Amino acid sequence: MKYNIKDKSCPYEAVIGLEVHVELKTESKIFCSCSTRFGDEPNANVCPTCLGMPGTLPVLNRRAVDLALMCGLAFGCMINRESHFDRKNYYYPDLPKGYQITQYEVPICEGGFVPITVDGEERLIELTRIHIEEDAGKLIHRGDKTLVNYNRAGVPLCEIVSEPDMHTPDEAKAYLESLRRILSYIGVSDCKMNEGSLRCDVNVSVKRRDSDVLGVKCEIKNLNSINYVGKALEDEIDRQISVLESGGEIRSETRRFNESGGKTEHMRYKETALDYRYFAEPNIPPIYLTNAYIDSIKRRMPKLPDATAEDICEKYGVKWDDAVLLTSSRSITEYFIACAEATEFKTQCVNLFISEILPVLGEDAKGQYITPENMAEVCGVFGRGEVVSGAAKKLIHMSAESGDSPALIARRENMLKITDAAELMPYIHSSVVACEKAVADYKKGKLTAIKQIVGAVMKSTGGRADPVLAEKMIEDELKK
Amino acid sequence: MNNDITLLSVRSLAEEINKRNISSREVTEAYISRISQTESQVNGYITVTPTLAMEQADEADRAFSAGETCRPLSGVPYAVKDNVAVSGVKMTCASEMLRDFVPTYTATVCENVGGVVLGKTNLDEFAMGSACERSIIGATHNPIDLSRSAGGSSGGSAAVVAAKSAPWAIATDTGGSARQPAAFCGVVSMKPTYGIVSRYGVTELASSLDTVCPITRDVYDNALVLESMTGRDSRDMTSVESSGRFTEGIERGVRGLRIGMLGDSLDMCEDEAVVRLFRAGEMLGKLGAEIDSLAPGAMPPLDVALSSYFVIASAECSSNMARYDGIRYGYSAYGENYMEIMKHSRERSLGDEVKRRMLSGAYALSRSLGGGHYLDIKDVQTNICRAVSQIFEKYDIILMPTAAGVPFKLGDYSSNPTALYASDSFTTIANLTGCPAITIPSGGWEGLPYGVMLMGKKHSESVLYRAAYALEDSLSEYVKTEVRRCEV
Repeated sequence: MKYNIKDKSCPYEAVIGLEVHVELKTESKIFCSCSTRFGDEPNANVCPTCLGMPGTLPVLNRRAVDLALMCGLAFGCMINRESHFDRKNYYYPDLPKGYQITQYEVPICEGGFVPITVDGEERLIELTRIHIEEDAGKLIHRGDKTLVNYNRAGVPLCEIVSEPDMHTPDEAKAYLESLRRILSYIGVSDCKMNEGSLRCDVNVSVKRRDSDVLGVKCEIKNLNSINYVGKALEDEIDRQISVLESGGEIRSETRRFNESGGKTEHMRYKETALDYRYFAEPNIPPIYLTNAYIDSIKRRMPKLPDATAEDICEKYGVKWDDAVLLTSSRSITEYFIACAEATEFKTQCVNLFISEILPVLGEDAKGQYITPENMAEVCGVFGRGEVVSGAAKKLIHMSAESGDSPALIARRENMLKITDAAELMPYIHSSVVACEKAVADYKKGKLTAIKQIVGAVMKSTGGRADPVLAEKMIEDELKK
Repeated sequence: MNNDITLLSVRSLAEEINKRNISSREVTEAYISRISQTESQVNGYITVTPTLAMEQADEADRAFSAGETCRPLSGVPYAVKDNVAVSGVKMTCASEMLRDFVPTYTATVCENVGGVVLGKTNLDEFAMGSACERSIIGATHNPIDLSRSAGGSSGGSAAVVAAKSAPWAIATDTGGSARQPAAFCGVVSMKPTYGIVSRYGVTELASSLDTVCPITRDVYDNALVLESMTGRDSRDMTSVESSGRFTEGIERGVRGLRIGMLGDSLDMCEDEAVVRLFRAGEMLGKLGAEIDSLAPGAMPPLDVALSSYFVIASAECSSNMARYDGIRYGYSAYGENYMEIMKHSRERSLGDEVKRRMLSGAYALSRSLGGGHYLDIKDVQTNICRAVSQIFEKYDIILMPTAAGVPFKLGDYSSNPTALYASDSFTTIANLTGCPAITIPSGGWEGLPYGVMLMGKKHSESVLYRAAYALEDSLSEYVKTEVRRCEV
């Protein structure tokens, strides 16, 4: 039988932990001055140091430490005043030195939590640790040949490890969304899963809900969209439950997600833990962080998105859900605030921004759409009742496209509201004639039928009629 | 004239070139010609770089005649151990693995020195060894007795300085690799405080123990050269500022210095060695130092230090050697997949000693193989450091042997490689503790040179140079009478 893991009556419970790698947004690599730019010619951004040539030494990029620290501060982690790097020794052609410099024994941050909301319910997901490490290069398979691109080798990463604290695919997805929103908001990472600047490995096991004994976990590697994380987890949880249901046992293994089939697949068993022969990296002294230094980073850190959303709610009278949308990235927030601050018609601005501008901005708005000054003008003409809301919406897009002044466009394109009774009268007449049935209904006492006639007036004026004035004039006309 | 030039000290060469009494070109030509006389017997250079040397010499001469400010050692030739990178010059590390490897970068130490590079000197493959015989060009011969070892791993650097085919040379010392060959060849070498000479561009053996050292013919030259080599380097995070100018006050003598002489732990020394050590102690006393024997047991057991050294050095070495996989540079053999390429490349291009240390080092780090004692050994190292710093509460300098005896015959240890490890018994303490230690000639027997070592606490190079300078002078008569002259 098929169980629904979200259902509290399901006899099984999933236990999910995530290991997320985010690329830290630095100009140069973590141990050399090569660029971290994505998408350059293969092996354009390499030097003797990131190729691991004999005698080259790592020099730690301070910015990477600062960003990792910001990450820890954002999630309320305990910041270790002394941490150090270790060598993780293993062989892979994309790993130039034959070891990865990472933090194993004492990471820069421990503990902390990530806030998530699932089905309107808020939860805090506990973190185990956050540590700094270097990325490896990338293998490209071409027929029977394998090529290596070392541009990514040495790009700084933060590994954020959660406790096995999630129980449904939706929670895992919400966790990733929350991580992404916060990290990109404070500028720690671009968090672009399609460019690999946010990557996710998932650990999942299934146990009987009434038992405290954890099941054997499997790891699903390299999931590259939040959607796939959800799908992979759903499939893997189903798989594990059906193994258990049929009396089988889960073996600890590494699996991958086949995106086209929507199924997880076996890669290798990992019953014996790999021996990475860790030891403290002798070429990099420990990182010592003083309270003063941590405070200075804290002060320079942008406000977290949730706190900003609260401010926006308070200041502009925005609903919480809208405020969350307005804080989905820092550039969006800044853009919104610039627009809202430029006009006295705050409510109009909020509504128009959410309905017209947000959808065209997409997730990571880089440039602005309409300029805040022109947006203020739109809010002005709308707020003062010079145009109807439909025209205001059009004006936003027209001004965004041409850069012209919205007031000018409104005049030029004949979009101003008809507020003059004499000008409106011909439309009233023609609409009353056209809406024969509505007129009859109205006269029979069905007063709401008048709306239909107002609609006709609006239609015939191309939306420019002042609906209040129109209704009044129709009333007068019908009373005649 | 040519041979006269090669007899000049670094100090005189620097002065004469600076005053333009002699050109860097003349000096360089004299050395190139000397190298061509000695190399067939000594085999100290893996690569000689006459073209580069002449270019650098001409550039120095031009700069001097233009009145530009030059570095103290500008225009003075020197040799570089072949595990230290000079851009555009092959850096083989004496290994088939890097036979054709040409770095595009120059070690900071060479940039700091700014002299004229004569060539790259021989070493044991990847600086692993104490005899300088495991090399792609074969063994370096001791210029004082060509049948004997020049010591290792920096045998090439020590031998070319002793053979007057370089005025001085850069060496590296991880467990004694500069001091033991210097002692074997009757020359001077200071292993400085860890970190005062940048390791950037120096092929790593054991990163936490590696130091870069000058080998010179006398103590003053050594101090002068080390001054040019040091300096905090933004490319080496473990580098630190040095304590200053070592030549300043070098002649101030030893009066008032408290010197503790190693009294126990000398069982492994030949009797003649103990005699030379005590004689040096007596001399220091006569010169006005407060000399006294270390209390028995004050010095951490040397066999424990030696074993600890080999665990730490091998462990770090196994990780540092991991980059040689036949993919990006160096020797590359055919293989069906990555592991095979790596396996075949290493099998064919690395020597037995390198493989031995990589294996034992991986074992020392591997918990799953039942090893993993690396961390315990780091605790032992901490204890050794504590014991040594206690000695330095009472003494300024520890006087001890550099090696157990005079140079052994080449090939003596080829059938018993690990027995050779014991030749590092006295030297590894300085690496484990990060302390400076200098070896100077103290005379010898059977015509062969023997060195004694002065070790001080971190950043006490100036004190060590003062003592070594005074001691060198008073031992010079013994050196003249007991050690025969170069064979080449």
